[in-house]
Amino acid sequence: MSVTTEKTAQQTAQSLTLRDLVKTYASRGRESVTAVKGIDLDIEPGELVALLGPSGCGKTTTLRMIAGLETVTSGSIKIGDREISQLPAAKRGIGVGFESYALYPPLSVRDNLLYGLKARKVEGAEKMVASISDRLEMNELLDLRPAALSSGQKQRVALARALVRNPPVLLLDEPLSHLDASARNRVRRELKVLQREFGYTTIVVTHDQVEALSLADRLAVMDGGVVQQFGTPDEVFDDPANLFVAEFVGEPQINVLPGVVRTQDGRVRVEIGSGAGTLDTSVAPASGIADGTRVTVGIRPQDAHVSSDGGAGIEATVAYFEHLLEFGLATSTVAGIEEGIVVQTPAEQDYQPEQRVTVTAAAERVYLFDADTGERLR
Amino acid sequence: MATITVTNIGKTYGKDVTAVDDISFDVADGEFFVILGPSGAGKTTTLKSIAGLVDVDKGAVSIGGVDVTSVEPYHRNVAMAFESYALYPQKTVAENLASPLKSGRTGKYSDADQAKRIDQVTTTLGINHLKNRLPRELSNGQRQRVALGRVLVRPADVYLLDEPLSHLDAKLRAAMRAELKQLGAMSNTTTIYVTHDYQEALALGDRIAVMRNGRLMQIGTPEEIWRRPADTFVARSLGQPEINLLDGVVDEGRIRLGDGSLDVPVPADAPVQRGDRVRVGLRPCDLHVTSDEGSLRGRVVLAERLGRNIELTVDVAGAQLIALTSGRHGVGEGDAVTLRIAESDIHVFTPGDGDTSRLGDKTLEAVQ
Repeated sequence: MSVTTEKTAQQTAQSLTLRDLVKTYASRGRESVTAVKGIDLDIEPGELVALLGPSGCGKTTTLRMIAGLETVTSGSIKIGDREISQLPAAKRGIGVGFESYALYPPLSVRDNLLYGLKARKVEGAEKMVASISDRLEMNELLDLRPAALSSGQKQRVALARALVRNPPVLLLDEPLSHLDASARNRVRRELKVLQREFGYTTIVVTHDQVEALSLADRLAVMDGGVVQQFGTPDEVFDDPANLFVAEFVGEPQINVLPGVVRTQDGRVRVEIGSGAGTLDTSVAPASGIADGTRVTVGIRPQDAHVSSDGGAGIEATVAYFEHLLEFGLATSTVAGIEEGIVVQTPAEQDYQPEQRVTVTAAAERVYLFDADTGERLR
Repeated sequence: MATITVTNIGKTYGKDVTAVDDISFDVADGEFFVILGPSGAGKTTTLKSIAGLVDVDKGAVSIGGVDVTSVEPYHRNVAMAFESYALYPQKTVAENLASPLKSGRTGKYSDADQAKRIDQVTTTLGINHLKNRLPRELSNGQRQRVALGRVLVRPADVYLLDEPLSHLDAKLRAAMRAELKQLGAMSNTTTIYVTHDYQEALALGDRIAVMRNGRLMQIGTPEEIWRRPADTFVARSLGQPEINLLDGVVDEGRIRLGDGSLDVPVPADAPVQRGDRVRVGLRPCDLHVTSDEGSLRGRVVLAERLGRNIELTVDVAGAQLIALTSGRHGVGEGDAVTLRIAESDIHVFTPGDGDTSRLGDKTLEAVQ
């Protein structure tokens, strides 16, 4: 398929609104478990939102509640103005694509697409299949069996099956997880272009932060049954709401170091290690953060630099250096702290163990978090 | 410490499943040698052939200059770690680590010696605090580290490691990678390390052997296989996103790509003539967005964040090029951009479908 960005009419796209959505699993004689603890999300018509988080964060339970595969303990789910949380799954008008393609191997692609429609005795099923096949440019696949399809083609068939009834909302559970790295990138781009082209309001559940960042218009980072941050990829990556989000998103993972706030000359700096130096931060002096406050400092390896001009920064000693051809990773130790600091270095640079370096970072890329709660200090 | 020589080994399972097809390579004393390839490439069979856990159909394996092809695994003095970890469920981590030292096959260790070796390994692997736990009280990643520790705790001529980091999360994997490299450098034990993760291979390997369908495609230093991939398979095996491959035709010192309105220079070492059909490989990380004039002009179709980097899908003269930018250029979807690539970063391959070989510069350590 060629990648295009032409948009067709979005007559089917509708908003999806979650209000204080809760799911508690109660079983007799045991303590009840609340998997989803009051989620609010406002998803715009045609928007692609990723639910991102580690296993057990509540993202799949949330998806299953929207699909109607789990009952809702309390709260509301609306498509447009229509409350659907109490409707049976089949009446919600939602297309669902699961982690595995779940295609029937003995059936042709056409029969796979027809199967669900015929089971529901939908009128005009053949026409609906022809229409979605046209739109997804997969007419040449209709007579093939699943075994003859590439992974990308299988993905497209699974998508076609979720879309065949022209649902206003599409839910996809780990749609790329079983593809190898090369196919995953390609299918991801295809999925994004198709979603744009047809303008379906789409929710994708994933545990893969690169997938969420690259695919989504906005992402909801979840942990412990709660949305930790809901924002665009830029907001989540560059302006993390708390330490969990900062650590979960980004690879190599963000450096997390203990620090002490030093306020002077109306600026908020942070000292790292014992006498190793300070870094400027973009925390406003008006924030009222006191001199001497112990904080947790987050600096992404890609945002940390080895200073060449010997300017202000953190004095460190290279412990080991890995050259990965695309870039290097210098892991350095800082006097007075146990944690090493990882700096991603340009491909043309080389470092040696024991080399003394000064590590710097732009003030707006030095994140401070409350040492106890992990909340971002601004 | 020992050299390893593998000569023309082959292994077929059943009637017609060829796992390893006529493979030869030498590993130097103390070298950290990585075998990289996708699943089914024959990496593990190769490793097991060296360990003696697979009887090869043909060929020979020598360790330290001694032909061990028909020697029992027990007597080869190799220590092997598997992707799946076999630990004694009823023994603590410390007891599990002590057991290879108690077997007596590599000499006797006093209690103090044992404690010292175990301590060194648990410190390196970051499992000091787990010494008194039972395997069932560990996470998968912790179990994998203990299993690796069982291998590293006893001195051996050769360490054979099969995807030892595969169950670890990304952060731990990166940290362990660096630790392992240090450990390898310290102990100076010849190590063969199997992985499907190209970053692991680049980070760890003194040399890397790339395998596919039971065959060796290329052996070289990380730098060599990155800069001079022997074919499009090796080129595609390294780097994410994958290398761009475009068909082209040579014309007056340039290679015309796509519909012909796009071209790149012919690299100095490529033996091609006007009119030759070729395939051109351009790595996404080597394509730079520039404000200068250039021949790679196109329109951004997709701009996707991969973290600090932005992955651009650029429509250039009817072809789609993937490029990586640092994200500080402020390039958005729909924007017109010019891409620049250094001549030394242009890879030229023979034309055709499937994987094809590199043109020119055969200074590589040739494989077969």
